[in-house]
Amino acid sequence: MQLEPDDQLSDMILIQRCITGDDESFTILYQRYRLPLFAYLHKLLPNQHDRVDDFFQQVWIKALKNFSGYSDQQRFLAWLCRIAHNLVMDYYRSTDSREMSEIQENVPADSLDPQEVLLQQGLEEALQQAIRKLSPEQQEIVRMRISGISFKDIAAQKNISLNTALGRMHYAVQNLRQLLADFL
Amino acid sequence: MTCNDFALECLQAEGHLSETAREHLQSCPDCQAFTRLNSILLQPRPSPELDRRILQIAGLLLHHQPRRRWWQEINHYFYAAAAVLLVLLSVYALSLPPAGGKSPDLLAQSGETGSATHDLLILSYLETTNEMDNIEQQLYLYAGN
Repeated sequence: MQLEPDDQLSDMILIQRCITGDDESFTILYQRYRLPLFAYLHKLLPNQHDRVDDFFQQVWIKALKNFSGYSDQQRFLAWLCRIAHNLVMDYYRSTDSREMSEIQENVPADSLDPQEVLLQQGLEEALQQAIRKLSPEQQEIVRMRISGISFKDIAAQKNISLNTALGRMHYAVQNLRQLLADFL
Repeated sequence: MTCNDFALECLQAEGHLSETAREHLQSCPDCQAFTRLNSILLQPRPSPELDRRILQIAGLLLHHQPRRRWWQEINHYFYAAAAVLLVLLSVYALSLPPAGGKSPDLLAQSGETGSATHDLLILSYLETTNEMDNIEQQLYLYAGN
């Protein structure tokens, strides 16, 4: 997959452009780090999907407001995870929760390789393109599954049997495997 | 176990595969790839609505940030240049000889005269010096007593 030149810009350059009001640069940064940050918040807040969404939004807003304080000496993802960690800690402190001690032991994910992040981003883009190439029925079931709906609920919503739902997903995954052969 | 059976179990499994399925997985590269893709599909990701909301907020925040004007961009260079200029001027001023080339003391001693104003200045200087000497002498005597 051919990447746009702007996609290859360093985080620091993109942040400097954001400071001057360039929202395209922010979109690139967001696409680059949305998945690892979201996964990190899921680890911090297991089984709390709504709260993860809230914190995810808060982290990006805080990052946006503090771009001028970001230094190139630390990885951007580690910086984001630190913000996320602090926000979650503040939340647990304010609610005086016992889960806080477990969170404190969770070290921010600063070990994620930048190459790995780019690869993940490339895979994600390729995956979205591949899903669009599936038949409408398969696309629908994959999107429902991605959004976390169980097969049982998919079958009920689409008024199909559980086996039909499973079969469609099975073929969809096989088709996706062929479409994503370069990445897998 | 066939690959088909494995796929159906894998799709329904919430991270827990049966012993038979695990054995099949270890020996089947096709099912390993299937499992990997399935886990990629199921990894947590923000909803399109959340993505849209955040990008919208970002757009608003970035456009409402006070933009730096050109003079704000260059102000640190300006301050640095001004500081250097000040230092250079100070060094230059210190390296200059006193006004007229000689101090009033030397002029008085040498007996050189110039304009009336100049002479008055020298006279005033000498009077002031004499007065200061007198005061110092009185203080010395006072301290001695």
